Amino acid sequence: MKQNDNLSGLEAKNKQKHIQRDFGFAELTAISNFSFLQGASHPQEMVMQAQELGYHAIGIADYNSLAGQVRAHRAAKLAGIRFIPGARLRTLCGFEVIAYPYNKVAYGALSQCLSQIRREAPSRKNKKRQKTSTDDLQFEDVVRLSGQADFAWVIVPPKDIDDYLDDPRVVRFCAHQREHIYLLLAPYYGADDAGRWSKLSALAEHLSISILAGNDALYHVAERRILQDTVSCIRLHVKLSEAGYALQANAERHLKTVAWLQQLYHLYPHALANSLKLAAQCQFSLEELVYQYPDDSFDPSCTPHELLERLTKEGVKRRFPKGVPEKLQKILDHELALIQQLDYAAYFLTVHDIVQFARGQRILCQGRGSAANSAVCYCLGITSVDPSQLDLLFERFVSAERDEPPDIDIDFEHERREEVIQYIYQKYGRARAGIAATVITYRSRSAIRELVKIVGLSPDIATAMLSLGWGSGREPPSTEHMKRAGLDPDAPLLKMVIYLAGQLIGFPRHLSQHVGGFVITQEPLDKLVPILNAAMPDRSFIEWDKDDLDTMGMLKIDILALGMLTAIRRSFDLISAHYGIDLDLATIPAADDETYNMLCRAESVGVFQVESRAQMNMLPRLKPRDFYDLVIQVAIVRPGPIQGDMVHPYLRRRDGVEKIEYPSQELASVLGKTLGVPLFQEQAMRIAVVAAGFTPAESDQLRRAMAAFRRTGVIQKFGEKLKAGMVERGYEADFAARCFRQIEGFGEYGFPESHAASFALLVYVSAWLKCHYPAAFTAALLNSQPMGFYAPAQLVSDARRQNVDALPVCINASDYDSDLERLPIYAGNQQTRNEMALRLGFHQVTGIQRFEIEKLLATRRASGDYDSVADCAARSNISASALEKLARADAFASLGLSRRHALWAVRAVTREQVAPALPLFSFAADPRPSDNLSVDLPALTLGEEVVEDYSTLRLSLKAHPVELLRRHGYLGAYKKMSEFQALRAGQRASVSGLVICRQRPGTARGVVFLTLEDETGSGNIVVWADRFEMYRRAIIGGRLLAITGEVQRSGSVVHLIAKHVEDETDLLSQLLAHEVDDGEGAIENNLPKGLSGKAIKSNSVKAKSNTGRRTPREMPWRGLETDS
Amino acid sequence: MAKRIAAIWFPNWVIECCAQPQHPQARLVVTQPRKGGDYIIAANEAAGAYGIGAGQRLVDGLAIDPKLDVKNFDPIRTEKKLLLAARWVGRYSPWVGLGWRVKQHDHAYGLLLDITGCAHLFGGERALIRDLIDRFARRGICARASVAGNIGSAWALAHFSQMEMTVLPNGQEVDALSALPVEALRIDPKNVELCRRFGLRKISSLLPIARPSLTQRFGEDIVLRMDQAFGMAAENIIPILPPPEFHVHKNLAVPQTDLPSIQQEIGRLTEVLSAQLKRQGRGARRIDLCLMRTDRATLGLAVPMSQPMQNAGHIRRLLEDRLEQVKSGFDAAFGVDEISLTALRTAPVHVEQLGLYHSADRSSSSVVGKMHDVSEKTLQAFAGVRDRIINRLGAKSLVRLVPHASHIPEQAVRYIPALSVPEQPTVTRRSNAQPVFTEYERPLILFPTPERVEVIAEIPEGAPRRFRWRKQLHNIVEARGPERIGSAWWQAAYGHKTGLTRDYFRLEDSNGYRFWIYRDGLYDQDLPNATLPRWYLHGLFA
Repeated sequence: MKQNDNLSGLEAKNKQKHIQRDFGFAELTAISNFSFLQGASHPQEMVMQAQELGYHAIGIADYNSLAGQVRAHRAAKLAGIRFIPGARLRTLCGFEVIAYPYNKVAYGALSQCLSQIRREAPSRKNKKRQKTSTDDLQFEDVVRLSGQADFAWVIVPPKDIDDYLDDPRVVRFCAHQREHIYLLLAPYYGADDAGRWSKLSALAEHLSISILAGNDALYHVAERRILQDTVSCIRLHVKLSEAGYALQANAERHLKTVAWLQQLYHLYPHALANSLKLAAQCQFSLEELVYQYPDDSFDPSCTPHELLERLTKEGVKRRFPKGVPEKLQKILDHELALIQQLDYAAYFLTVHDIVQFARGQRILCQGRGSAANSAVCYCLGITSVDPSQLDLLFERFVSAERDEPPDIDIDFEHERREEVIQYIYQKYGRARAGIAATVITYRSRSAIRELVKIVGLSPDIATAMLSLGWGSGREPPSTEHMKRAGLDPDAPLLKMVIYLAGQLIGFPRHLSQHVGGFVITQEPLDKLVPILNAAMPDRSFIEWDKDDLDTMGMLKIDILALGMLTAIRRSFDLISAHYGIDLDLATIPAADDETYNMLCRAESVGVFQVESRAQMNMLPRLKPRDFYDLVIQVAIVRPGPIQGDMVHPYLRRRDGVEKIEYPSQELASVLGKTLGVPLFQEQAMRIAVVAAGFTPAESDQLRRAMAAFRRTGVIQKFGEKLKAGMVERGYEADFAARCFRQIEGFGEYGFPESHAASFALLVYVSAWLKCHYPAAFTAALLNSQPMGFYAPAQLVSDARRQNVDALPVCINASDYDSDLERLPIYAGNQQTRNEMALRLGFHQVTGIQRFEIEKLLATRRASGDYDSVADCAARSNISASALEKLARADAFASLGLSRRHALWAVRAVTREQVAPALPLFSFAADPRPSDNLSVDLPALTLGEEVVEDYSTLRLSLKAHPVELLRRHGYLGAYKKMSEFQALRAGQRASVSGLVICRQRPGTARGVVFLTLEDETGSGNIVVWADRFEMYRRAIIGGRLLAITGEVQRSGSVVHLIAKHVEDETDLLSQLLAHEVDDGEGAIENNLPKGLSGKAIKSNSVKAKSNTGRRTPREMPWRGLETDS
Repeated sequence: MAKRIAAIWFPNWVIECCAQPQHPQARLVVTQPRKGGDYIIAANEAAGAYGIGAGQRLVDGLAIDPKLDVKNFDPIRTEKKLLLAARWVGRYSPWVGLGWRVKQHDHAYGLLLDITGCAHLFGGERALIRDLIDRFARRGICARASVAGNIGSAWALAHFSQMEMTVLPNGQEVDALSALPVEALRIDPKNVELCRRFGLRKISSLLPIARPSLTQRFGEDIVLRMDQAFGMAAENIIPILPPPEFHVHKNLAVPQTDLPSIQQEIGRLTEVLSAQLKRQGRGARRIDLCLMRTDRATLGLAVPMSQPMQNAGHIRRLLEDRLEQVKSGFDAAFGVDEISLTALRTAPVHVEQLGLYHSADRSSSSVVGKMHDVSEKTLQAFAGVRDRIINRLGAKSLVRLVPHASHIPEQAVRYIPALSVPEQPTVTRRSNAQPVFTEYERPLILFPTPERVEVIAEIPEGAPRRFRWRKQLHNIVEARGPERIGSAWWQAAYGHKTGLTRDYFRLEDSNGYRFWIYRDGLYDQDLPNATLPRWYLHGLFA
């Protein structure tokens, strides 16, 4: 009896299953949020939900785009549900149809069609349209596409179908291939769904096409209606309260259960059945897209691999003229074998080709990232670090087990990268080369800006909400935040904004181009993925981002830009021009003691990577003495090691305070190089493998999980596994936890060893240049702005501290770029001063245009120096405003004119230019009254000069603002930065200075690092989170701060722990207001003799003054500002 | 007679024009939106003492004091008040002009008076401006004033002198002005900036420079302004008082104390005004009545009209109605001896367009708009009725319906005052405001409050089979639906109730009556287990 019961229960269950199979359903009308600002679910959410609901398959077709396809495909593969790729085409005339390609040819045609409409649209004109996501797709294009290849089509009727029933477009579209065309009946819960369905099904019958049941889903669950309404308002630029009928009336555009659909479609069961039929017809999968690397451009007489071997051999000879080390030969053989096995030769050759091009154009470049693991890359000249020196593993770069393409990143000079990019486009054509996309997602900033608008608050509120923000951009502002901004966090509207922001953050907003990831294909690229025009002229990019490319197994070359390479090349050029020494990356003398000494003193302003606050603190502690120390230096000040609390153990062990020991014998090999402390990304990953028993694939998944933008639960799962695995194998739980934290930190800003090594090389080169050719290096940095941490003012004052004379911008001496100038030798300067002085270039003058300066220079070269403003204006013929800018920038000082007198003269000339005398009367044009220039204008005070300098040149060679204030009796109680070093630990001290750098690293739990500068140097301030909250306004807004606190020392690194912060910005106005007349006369009379106009020493300038009344907030202090 | 000009400057005009702060100590600021957010353009004393002042961003001000009383700058109101002040100072001189401003949106408000030959009436120039400043001060308005021989120096002294009031004898301009900053010359802001660059801060520093040198560098501006300030170039005040377009006025020989006889006088004046209007083919949009009593107290009334009117009877009726309303408060005291009627706003009237429907003014009235064949006379009559209703009951009492884009049926129309122009449908253009319904889908009669009904229906979303409304049972023979209308979820944040999702059904009962019924809430989402849904009858189809 009982058995029987069980049996019947089982039977019933089976029966139920049976029923479900028979009346199953496949959703084919969903869109994702890659239909930007229309869909309200991620593709993966849509796929997961479909799987949950027991759908047989899911097709997500976004509006005129294939951007979300790979994500959906990947998610479907993981979830175990079939994904059908397609696109929803919406024409300009409003005809909407979904296309599902039956095969690769059809897919290619679809992709090409989408590329075409995007590429042909002039990007400017199209910009407005793209916002509403309609493109220049014509109905004819769709008809043509349907004739080209085999598709299944789903016609989506509009809301109002009265006119649609005899729409000629529908009739025309359904003229052929009727068996592949479906008409969508969707449950909108409108006023008359039943009537609508019966009309539509009659229409379908009339046209002999099929009907299809579908959710026409905008989101995966009903709860997302709120978000859908929100993004719709953002798309349409309307307020929620005014959007009206533009929004959906209800929340029914979600994926419904199969049972419910059965009930809804009980009159049209074949509509449900047809969904399965359609799904069965569309057997195409993205897996079928096989990517092929181009190999057509190489020597046809041999295979790519033979060519690669030949080139490598040549490279070896070049790199090792004395014969190749045996160890390296072994590595090379191994690598070449692996490359052959995986058939990557063409990829290496393509990269080689690009590098060759750059070398030919004298563009500095260097491979970075994991490519530095490869000896082949080293021999081909792609990377510059000898991998055999560092024991780097080629398998980190390419491996047979990990089925993923290698990723070569190359840095080029940032000013000349475009040449390389255009070379690639030119060589392979637009249809075969494209830049990868970056999906721009909503961050708290962008989300709140939009939301405040659609809610109907003033944009001011958004400004207020974001004004104090230093957040990660991934969370909406917190309650405390809002209170601080003077907003009521309980105000319902603001609450709604915060809630919606929480939902919206992380949603894709639009596609943009990746910084430089190139995809190059053998077949036309637009058959794989649509190509779009980028906002930048002459750029085009594809719809997939780098993760998508990974999934699709497509190779990508990162063509990146690095400002430091530009600066280094410029330094080489300057050295070659002025010292007659030719240098390049490879010929810089290695292991130079002076250079390391300088780094150990933390004199690293302008040096690549190690110029940041944190790095500068680390330098004296780590005391780098050789190249590998630099590799560690670069890698150690990263979120990974800091979060993993690995920094201090390493330093202790390095100093010999702590014994070097390994958590276990098996980890000794992994951690040997770094004294038993894991510092590099690959070490952390190796620990996961060696110590926690992860498979290599798992450890890689772990790394990827970290990098994912939205924190899912996946990480924690891995974390538990890692910790459990390590404890099981006998490691201390604490060590395990630290390792995991470190991996977490690596996720976002990981530095693998090879990458650190590539960077370390640039650190060394730039440090060497700074040490031996400080003038040239500073000039090169100034010419490569904007780059690096420091503003020109800091770079120049740092150079002056290195005994480099800085000469002002001068109408007769300066070039456009800053340059070097040999100083006349006079007594006393050989010993201490640098023989070369830095001459500031006209580029430093704010707002001046290059072509004007070129005119000025050409005339000067052709017909000699200018002897007056009028002469300059007449001969060079530059514009009035340019001349005025030069006068304001004090460029005429060498002619004995103060900036006021120069401007006076300029105005006389320029008014004439503005209203030229009629030629008829030119004979009568009176010569300018002779008293024109000798007008008695009040001399500028030094303070005024400095302010003017900063506002026109962003720096002043005449004096430091703090120094001036001190001279006027302000800030007297504060210590100078030069006294800072001598302070005892625990001592109470006060300093003041201009804020040159504010940092709040994500790893430092709300601690703010400030760097203040005065005339004697800069000092480091640490503001703990609680003090920061107390003095928030001053710290964020102040430009001149006075800080009292306690001195903290560790070794030679001195910090001031802020206890009290005073915003002294208002004092800056005193520079203008203060009347000083200490009897030393005006500037003109006080120029150093023999150097008139060529160099102004900072300590010998005093001036008369006058009163002024401007408040500091409106002063043109542009040069003094630092960004937060 | 040498010209004498008085310049008045109201340094705190913007603040003083705004409503008073909630309490005297409240910190009040006036803000104006500019590029990059709201900026404070004026702050009261209390706020100033707190470090909040003009030029700051509102955000910064709020950060200093979150309880700041913030008012939006209302340029129209501010200008209007200035014009009022200008009229009022007409007591000193009939020749009044607005003060010079650097730019149109500059917030320096002031007035200029030509007081040549007027001063002796007030006991001299000094006494005149003393009186003026005091009178403004009594009204809580801070004023600074000066008298000089020309506009330039009077303006400069009013704005830049250290003293509250200055009287400068003719011929002493150079001495008096040379210590003032160059801005006092009323020169172009660009030239002010340029002067600053040259270090030329005071007018005195401009004096030694040769005039051709100045012209060459600054253009005519500085030289001209210097000439004006030093009395070497002529400049005149542009008077602001515009004569009213239509004005009738009568002095009564015998002061009248009883309303009927006053009304009679008004009636006569109306005839005269109407004749004036007719002659020019214009109609009044607003009539101002002013009754002056023998003790110089005045009573003023204003009646607006929905259409330009010139019909004396109509105007008189409106005035009478209004006087009727104020009757209880009307106190003729010793009698009214002067009556005036002014038509301040007028518009052209085309009387000959009889019977031709023209929409320029009338489209605002949807009811009228529908009547295509009505004659002009009827329209006039209708407008008359409308004016009278509004005149008696207030502008808000007469409303009309306009469509509003909303899915929620009861929010799909809005009432607006009959005289107001509907908001331009900028929004609707963008957001597809066309209701997507046919006349079969929405009922003709929509109840203001839906009525509860008892319903028998299939769970979860089947149509009602029968329902009971006002005790009557209706058997359904035909049903369409559900039409699902979600709540306007965002309205909660604006302090409105949002309600539940509704399922609407169109029903026809066995008698052929058609109903619009909804269930409030969905079974699986909004209704907790075992809660029965509520049903409502929301409307009737014809």
